Amino acid sequence: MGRINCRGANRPPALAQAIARTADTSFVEHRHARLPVISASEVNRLSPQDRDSGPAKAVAPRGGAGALQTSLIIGLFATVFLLTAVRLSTENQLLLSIGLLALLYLAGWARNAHPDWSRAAVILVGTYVTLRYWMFRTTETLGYQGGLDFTFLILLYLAETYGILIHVMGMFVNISPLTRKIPPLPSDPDRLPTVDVFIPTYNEDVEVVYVTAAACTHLDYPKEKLNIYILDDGGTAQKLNDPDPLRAAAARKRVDRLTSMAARLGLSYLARETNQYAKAGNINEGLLRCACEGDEHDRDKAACVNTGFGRSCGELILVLDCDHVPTQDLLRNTVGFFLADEKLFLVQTPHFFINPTPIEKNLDTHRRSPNENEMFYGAVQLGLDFWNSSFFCGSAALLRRSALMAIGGIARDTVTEDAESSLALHSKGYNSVYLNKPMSMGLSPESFDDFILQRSRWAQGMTQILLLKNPLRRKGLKLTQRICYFNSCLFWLFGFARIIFFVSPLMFLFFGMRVYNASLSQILLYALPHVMASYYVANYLYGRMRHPFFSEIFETIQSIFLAPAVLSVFLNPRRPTFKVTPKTISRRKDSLTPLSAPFYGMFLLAVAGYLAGAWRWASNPLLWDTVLVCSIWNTFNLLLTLCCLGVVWERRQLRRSHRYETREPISIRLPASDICMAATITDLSTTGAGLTTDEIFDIPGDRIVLETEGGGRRQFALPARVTRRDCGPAGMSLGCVFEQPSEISRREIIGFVYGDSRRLKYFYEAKIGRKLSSFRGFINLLAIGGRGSLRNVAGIARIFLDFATGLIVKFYKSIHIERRRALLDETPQGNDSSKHSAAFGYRYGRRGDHADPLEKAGADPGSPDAGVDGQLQLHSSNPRALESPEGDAPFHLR
Amino acid sequence: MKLNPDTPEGEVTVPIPGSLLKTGYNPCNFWVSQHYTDEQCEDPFAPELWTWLKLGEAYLIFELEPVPVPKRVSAIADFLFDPRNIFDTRVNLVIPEVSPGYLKAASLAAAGIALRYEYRAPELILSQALRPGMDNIVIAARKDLPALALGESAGADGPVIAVRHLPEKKSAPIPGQPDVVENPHLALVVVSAKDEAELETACRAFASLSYPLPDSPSTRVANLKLPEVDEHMLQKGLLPGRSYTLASLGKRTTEFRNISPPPLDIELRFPSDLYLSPNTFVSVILHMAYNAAMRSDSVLNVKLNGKFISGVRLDNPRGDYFKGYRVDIPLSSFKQGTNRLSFEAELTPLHTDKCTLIQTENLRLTIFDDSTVTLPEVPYWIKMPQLELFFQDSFPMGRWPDLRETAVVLTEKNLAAANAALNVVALSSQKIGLPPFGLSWLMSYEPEKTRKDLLLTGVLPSLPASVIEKAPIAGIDPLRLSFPQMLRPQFQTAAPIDFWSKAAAPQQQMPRNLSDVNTTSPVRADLSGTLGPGRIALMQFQHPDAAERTVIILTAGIAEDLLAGSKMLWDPIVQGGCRGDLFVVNLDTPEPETLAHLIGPSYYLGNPGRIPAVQNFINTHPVLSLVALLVILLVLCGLILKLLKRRRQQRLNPSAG
Repeated sequence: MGRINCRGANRPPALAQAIARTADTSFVEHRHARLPVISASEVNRLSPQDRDSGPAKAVAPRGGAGALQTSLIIGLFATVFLLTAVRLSTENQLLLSIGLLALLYLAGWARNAHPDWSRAAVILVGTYVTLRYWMFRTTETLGYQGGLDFTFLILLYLAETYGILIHVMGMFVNISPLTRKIPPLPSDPDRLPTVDVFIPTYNEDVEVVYVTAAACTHLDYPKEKLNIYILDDGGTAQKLNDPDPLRAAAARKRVDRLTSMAARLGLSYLARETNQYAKAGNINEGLLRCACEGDEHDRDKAACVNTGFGRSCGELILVLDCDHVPTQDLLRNTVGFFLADEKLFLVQTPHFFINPTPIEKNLDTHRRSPNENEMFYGAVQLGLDFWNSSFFCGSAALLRRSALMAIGGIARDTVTEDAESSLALHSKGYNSVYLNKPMSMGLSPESFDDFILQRSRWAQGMTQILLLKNPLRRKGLKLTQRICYFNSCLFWLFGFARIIFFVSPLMFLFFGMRVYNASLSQILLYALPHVMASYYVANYLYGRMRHPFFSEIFETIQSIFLAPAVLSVFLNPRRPTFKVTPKTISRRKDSLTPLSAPFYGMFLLAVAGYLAGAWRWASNPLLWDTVLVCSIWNTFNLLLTLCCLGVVWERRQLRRSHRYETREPISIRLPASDICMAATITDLSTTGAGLTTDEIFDIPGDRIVLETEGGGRRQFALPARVTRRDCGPAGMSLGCVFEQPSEISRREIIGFVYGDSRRLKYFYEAKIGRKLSSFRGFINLLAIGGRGSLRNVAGIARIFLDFATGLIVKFYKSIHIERRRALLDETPQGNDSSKHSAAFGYRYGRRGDHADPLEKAGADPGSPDAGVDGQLQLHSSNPRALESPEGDAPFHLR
Repeated sequence: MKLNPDTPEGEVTVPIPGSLLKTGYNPCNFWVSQHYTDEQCEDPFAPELWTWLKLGEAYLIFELEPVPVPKRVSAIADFLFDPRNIFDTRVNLVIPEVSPGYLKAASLAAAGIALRYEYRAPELILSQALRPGMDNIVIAARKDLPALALGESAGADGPVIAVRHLPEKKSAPIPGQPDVVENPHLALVVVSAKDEAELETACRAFASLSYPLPDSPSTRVANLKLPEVDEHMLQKGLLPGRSYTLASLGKRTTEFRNISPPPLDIELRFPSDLYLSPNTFVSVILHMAYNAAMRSDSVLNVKLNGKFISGVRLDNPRGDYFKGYRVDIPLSSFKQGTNRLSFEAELTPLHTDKCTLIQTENLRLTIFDDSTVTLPEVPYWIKMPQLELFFQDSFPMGRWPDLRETAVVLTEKNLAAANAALNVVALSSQKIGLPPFGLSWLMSYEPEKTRKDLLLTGVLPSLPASVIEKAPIAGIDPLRLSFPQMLRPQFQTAAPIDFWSKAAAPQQQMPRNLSDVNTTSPVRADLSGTLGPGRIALMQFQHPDAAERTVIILTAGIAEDLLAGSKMLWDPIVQGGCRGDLFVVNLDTPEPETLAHLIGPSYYLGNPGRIPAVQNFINTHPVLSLVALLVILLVLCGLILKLLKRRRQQRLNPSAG
């Protein structure tokens, strides 16, 4: 890196190579490049040599050979299934287990040389080992030993069967994940379809909507083909006429601000009469509004639908949650799929969250381990796509309007309207596509309570689909699609299974119930290979997206709360209502979540289990092996519980701006001269950036201009002020804040920060950690559990200490007050308030300590004038930077 | 007799008046009354209080005179073959010829004798002529009856059983007097009929313990109806999935009295091929009551085969009643064959101080005979070969107790081989508890006719080649063996000091057979002449033509050894040393010496699931099956990949699909 001419190439060759390494080079996207004129059929003939780069040549019908092949597969499957039921002697079962595990590891080892064979072999062998265990459980371990014993025995068996079913279906779904590449667009803009962008919002902060809406205006798509709508459910007539005058006033204020913002950005603002059907109703209203202009009270909805397409309604609908900021190339990367397939109704893209989930934050695994969503968006959706079952996830998705209209708009029978709509459309023969390229950046819930709220809705919604729209019996679906949807719905019953897995060893340790009727040798011969194979297969399939044992942690944490929620759906499938997930909560200090109580109970039970086990060991020597197994099982549960205790101890989080790490070249121009210096951006947010340079140079007036090229080859020149400069032997490290004199510059900054999907891809892939072996995963689990529980214990100790200190202070003050009163009684009457303050001072805790630093600074976080530091002002990527001895330290750049 | 503590050893002679004795068993009990005083106080728990009777050195002197054999058919059951008879019993079975029909009849008769002898070993001799000095049983069609055996049965119609005194020729005949006289102390039993079919009926009646033999000199057998038998129906045997009360197991309501009363032992006999699943339990449901005023450390110990497995606290000083106290014992703690379940009460008085009247008459515990033992539902499945099971319940021949699925094959037609086979069959019937009503006899090995469990007897050269190929006898001459220079306990390289090391360490024990030895310095040798003179071999292996069947061969180098060896098999010491698939007995030593080996391949018998043939094949050939499974998985993998490839193309090219 060095000094370069600003008028020359903006990007030095070395940096360009660096970018090229991090960027997705598999597709061509250049706003000004001439795109080839290409039809849908021509698209299909592209790159036949590359399996994933595009459609391959058409496959001739197989006829009799295909049927023979299918029959052969079914026959072999049946044979293999029968073989799982063969009773083997101990030594033969040992031989089989060792042989199969060896084959499994061998198949996994061949991953690089023969990826397809390796994957299929790992799945097949893993399935066999698992089915063999299940068959053993079914045929040899179920027996009536008394009412209660049998009840828990069956419950455990059902829970295991559920887990095995999910595992096997998961393997089926992921047997051949589909990695798609982006189809090119026709060069003639007239041939591009029209697109409506829907940004549904309810009660989110206006600034959240602003950032998303501003980013939408940067979408790289012909403006005449693009309409952006803010669908505001917070400004419905129902809200405006709320009987509570305060609420009505707040709604009016919100409407004013949103309409004003829409006018400034050149967008459409739509609000409906009522909030019926929540988000689904909101989007549907948007669909109809577009189709039917005029008197909204006198609309024939059917006529609207029929006539709507003749007007200016977009052929495609881009749905974005108001906290999902799109990159510029979102449409150009997705629209091509619709041109290639007339029956396509959906192109779903990953939801990419910039902030840690509460679990990540509280366990301190952010950036160390993949988060919970990555397995779904990085692996499962790819597998679903292979079976034409990838489904709409509510946001960051492009849908075909005509397809939606064919089912009467977004489905409304469940609280997961997105998946429900997809199911309906797949049933009608439509296709879906999943493009694994992050092109939007969103927020995940900040607090554990909100996280549970969100997951409860998902669990309830998918259970509703299972009960009300049973995919197994729904007409129009293919068998593979039925399995995929059934798997997606059934997954959410994990809460019951987790609870049973926790309780089962305790049932034996406490009460001597034989809930798992197997000897130690059988456990070693059947269960252990199954567990080893399952973890190996899961790690093989999802290892980069989810580290070992994290599924157990995630599920255990949620199980206590999700199980009752799901149970309520079973009791009354139509009862759940849509609850919006809050995502804007800041936490000023560490605290215990109100949902923590069950985990302390679990912890105590698990510890008591050891005592009971010791007693049982001594009193019943014949059952020492069962005691041993149950104690090991209980230890695993205890570890998971410790992780839960770490999660429920919520760590503080102040947010002015969520900052993410990146590594890309940029030019620094000094305004006083025409000299450009090469630099690298190390982190970025809407408020500022971190930079490094190889050279040390003076910055007159601490003013610089960052010049770079964003997504779509757009040139950016962003003035900034240097707030920190650290010099070292390797160069300089700069911290700077963007100067935002006008709304246009703010929009530019938004365009730069959120516009380039290549940066997201870098970020996305950087976040996905390397695979861990099961053993290292277990060590990881130990470490996480240990750290989390220690934090919890320390926090609880601090609470008690604070409480004790408070009592002492209170006691001291009470004595002090008595003296004061005695003193006042002896002095003449004065001003009441001064007397009061003289006597009591401030309330305990000192108000100033709890004041919002933003409020103290006098900034209105909801005002555009305050910058773009609203909800999407993402927090520091390094939580430790927020910690300071003073407690509420404001965010600062490195 | 007074016990003198100063001379603690002595010999006592006790005259027993003959009038006190009765026929049958006479229990002889020894009671001892001992006491110890300390400071003028009685201490019933003093460790010095013991008396040791050296019963191994004790003996009884009888003066007796045999009574004449009653000339009534019922004497067969209550006199001739009585296990209480203290004399050795030699029985000569006379048949006119060595044919399948006569051999079957003789085997029924032999089994009848063995069954009546319960656990004792009769000496069975098969011949074609009467022999003096022993009881004789003539089994023949009427036309083949020897002249001496003719009598009242000569003109009878139908199958007849008759009992007479044995006619013996005088050594010095007196002219004018018959040279044949009857020996009143020996019996001649005649079982005859007009043909072989009727003869078998008569022998069946003879063999049936429950057949009502009359008090007349002869009886005609008519309308004989045999009991229905099922597979695995052993004498005193228990079946899986069934419950048995103690009463049905021969135990009445039992009361335990005093401090350490004698235990209650219950014999549980499991079929040899019962699959002792490690995760199933035998449930013992006890109904019992105990008295008040016992100390709370009183306990009822439950032991299985001498090992403690559970205990019941009797800790209520007011006494209590248990209805349905449940003790679950893992089935894997049992063994095939006979198990002994013991209940030992340790009852403690409430007060045990010195110089205190210790009340022991209240120490009472009663186990009621409606208490039950319930076996779990488990399959019959076993890994073979295991020759020791043959001496346990005659497995696998005895799966059907009437041996209907068994055939005896004589590889040479002579009396010695037939006599040897007869001994084995009689022994087998005694173990099972039922005569071999369904047993068939063959005079040669014919693969198409012999798809049963087989017992082959004959000298080594006469054995069929096709059978010998599969037999472990292939390793006999020369026999390649590894054995140590001396038997010694195996030592450990590092003593386990913690629990886990101890738990992980293999159970070590003194090797019992040469084949058990795996020391690091064995001698390897090819021994020839292993089956030379003075030795017999018993072998067991999978039937060469029927996978679910087993072949047992009893063979020797010469016929005399074969016969002597078959008689040796009755010896409990010989039976105790038998295991593996090749068992060699040395006949030339005063005490029988045995060698047991496991040489041949393993195979499985039984029905562990829905497809027993496949399952047993897989278990018998595990490596081959594993390879086959892997091949199937790989083929499946390839086919699935083809399907997936096609599917992938369709997904990436939707318009073409």
